[in-house]
Amino acid sequence: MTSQAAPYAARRAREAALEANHPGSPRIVPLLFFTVLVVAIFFAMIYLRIAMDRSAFELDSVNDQIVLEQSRTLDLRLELAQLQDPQRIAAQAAQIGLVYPEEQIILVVTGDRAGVDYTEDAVPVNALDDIAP
Amino acid sequence: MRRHRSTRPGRQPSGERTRIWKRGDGRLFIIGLAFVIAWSGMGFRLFNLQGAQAVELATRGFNQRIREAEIPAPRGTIYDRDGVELALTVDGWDVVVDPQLLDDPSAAALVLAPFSGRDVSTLTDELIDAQSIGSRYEQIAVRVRNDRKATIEEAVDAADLSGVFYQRVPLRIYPAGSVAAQVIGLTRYDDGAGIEGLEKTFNSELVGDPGRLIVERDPYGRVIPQGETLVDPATPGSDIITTIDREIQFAAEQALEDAVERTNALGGSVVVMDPESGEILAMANWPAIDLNDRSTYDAEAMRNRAATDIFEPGSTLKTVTISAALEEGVVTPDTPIDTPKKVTIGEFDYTDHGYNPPWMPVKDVVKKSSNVGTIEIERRLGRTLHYQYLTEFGLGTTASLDVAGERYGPLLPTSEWNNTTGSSIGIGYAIGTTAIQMAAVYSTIANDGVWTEPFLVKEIRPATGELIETHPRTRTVLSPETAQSMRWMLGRVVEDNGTGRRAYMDAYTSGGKTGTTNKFDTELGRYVEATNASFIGMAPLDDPKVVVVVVLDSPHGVGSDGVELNLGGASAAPVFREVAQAALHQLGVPPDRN
Repeated sequence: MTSQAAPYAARRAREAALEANHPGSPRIVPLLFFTVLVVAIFFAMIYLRIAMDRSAFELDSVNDQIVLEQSRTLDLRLELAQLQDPQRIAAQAAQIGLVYPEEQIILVVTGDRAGVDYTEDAVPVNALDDIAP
Repeated sequence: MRRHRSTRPGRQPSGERTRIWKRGDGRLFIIGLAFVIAWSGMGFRLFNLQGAQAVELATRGFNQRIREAEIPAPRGTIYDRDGVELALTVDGWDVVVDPQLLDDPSAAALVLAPFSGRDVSTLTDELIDAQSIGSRYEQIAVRVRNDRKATIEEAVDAADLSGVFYQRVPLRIYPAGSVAAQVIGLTRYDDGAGIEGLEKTFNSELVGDPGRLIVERDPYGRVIPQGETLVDPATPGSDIITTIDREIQFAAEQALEDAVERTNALGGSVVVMDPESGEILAMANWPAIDLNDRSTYDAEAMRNRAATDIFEPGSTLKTVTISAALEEGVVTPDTPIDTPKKVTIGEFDYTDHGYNPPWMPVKDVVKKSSNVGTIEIERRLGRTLHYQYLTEFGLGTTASLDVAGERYGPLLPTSEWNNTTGSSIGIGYAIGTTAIQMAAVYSTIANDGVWTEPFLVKEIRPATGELIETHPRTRTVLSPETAQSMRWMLGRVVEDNGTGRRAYMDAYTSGGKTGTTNKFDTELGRYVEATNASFIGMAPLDDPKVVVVVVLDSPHGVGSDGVELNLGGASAAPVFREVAQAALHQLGVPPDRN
């Protein structure tokens, strides 16, 4: 053992003895970690709460939008039905001078003329034979 | 190893006891005590609030925040057979103000008056009065549509008015206005309950079940996010799919309106029925009414005459008498029947209109609508069989499955018949019928002898659950041969010099019967000059797709061709032609007349 090693050995022995006398003394790193974790959880909870509140507002807004769109859909259905109203159509037709023909001509499209060459016989004879010139 | 010893105050390492209290420890004690008392107080309070009174306080707080509201169930829609809306509920708005929140009532009145139907000074006075008596509710406009509400909102925002609120209310709209008005019916304004027509008959199906909404709100009424929310959703009312064809309905209404104008009638009704299925394709009534304009509401115009008005069917009922006689083999179309100018039974003389030969075959009795000939056939048939067929044809009871307010006319049992009752009923007197009943009678002949219950609603579509389809009752009254034979004879009525020649259609074969009866004045207790003129027919004749009943109330005057308009053949038959033709076109039935 050298003369320099002696104080070192003595210090190690004191430290070992001190450590042996305080076996449960806390270490700083785990404590720090725990503290940071608690703080992080605390802020995370606050953040989550805010996020959930924000989502709730957004959900509320989306629900309002759904109600609004449903209302618009009903309005559009109503408008469509009103546009199809035969009374309205008849009135509009009368306004632009459309009238029912005095004589009604009925065209019967039989659909049984497969194979007929319509380039030469462009108009089905059954249908238009009776139409007065 | 030596154990480390504690160096707590008051204890020496040697274990000898020393003084515990030192100078200044008294203050520490007091502070400590104060803390203990404070914490104990807080603990007690905490226990009191969170323990002893916890439930009561939580309930009180919850009740202050909680708002419970009923979620109204959307009323079901009424559709025509093609899925076009006949009655629809949309969002409407009541516009109200809280007068206490108005800074300047006159400025508010200036903005709101154009929407309130009141002039500015009147509204100003009303708002000032309301403000002075502490009222918090003043109605500005009721039941406005979304577009109107948007206009009001715009004006209110532009004027920066406070205290204006919009309350959502359901608004029942009838897109086709007056088309099928009496069939569809009406709902009440305040609670939306059906009070007329289909709206009334199917009210319980249409209303649905209201839901419940419980939410936590802040003092300003805003929903608290993450608060308690309980939603018991409303179940929408069922949709009703009717058998009505809006195009045919419109054509029937147009033809009826024209006829009423042309014949100076007081009113009338037209029924178009699919004889095979029993579906009522159209049921038109005059006078008409616009369901969207309550200011013109008239109970008389709202009446579904086709279902409620009882009339003596006259000659149109001869079809029943003669069909029964054919079915029972009492006569054939060619059996000769004596047709003297007059038949006297009891106190009554029965005659024919115009000249008829002394005898004619049954087919001509139908064509010429001979009263005396039909009476002779009825006598051969006998009252028991006659009555049996009348009931089997659906007379003496309601005919339809679901037409609101349907009535039926009297049909006396044979035990109460006197010596003229059978003869009178045979030619359509002494019995009451409605247009629907007569539609069912003629549909029996059109449908090869099978009577089918007329109906208006073919499907009920619940929001949840299974579709409900209508299955009408049916019964066989005549053989197909008899029905066919009867149709052939009815076809002769509309041709050549038959009484119903004005019902003749160029494109389709048709058949039918005219009817003209003098109206019975219950106050006078006798028949009067005014008539009920009718025509009931079917087309195409071989396989009828429609049966059309036309009844005009008191037509009168003389037509352009000099014919008396009080007769069914003159006034009602042309309506049949128009309506039947439109209906057959709409149904895509190909013409069968070359």
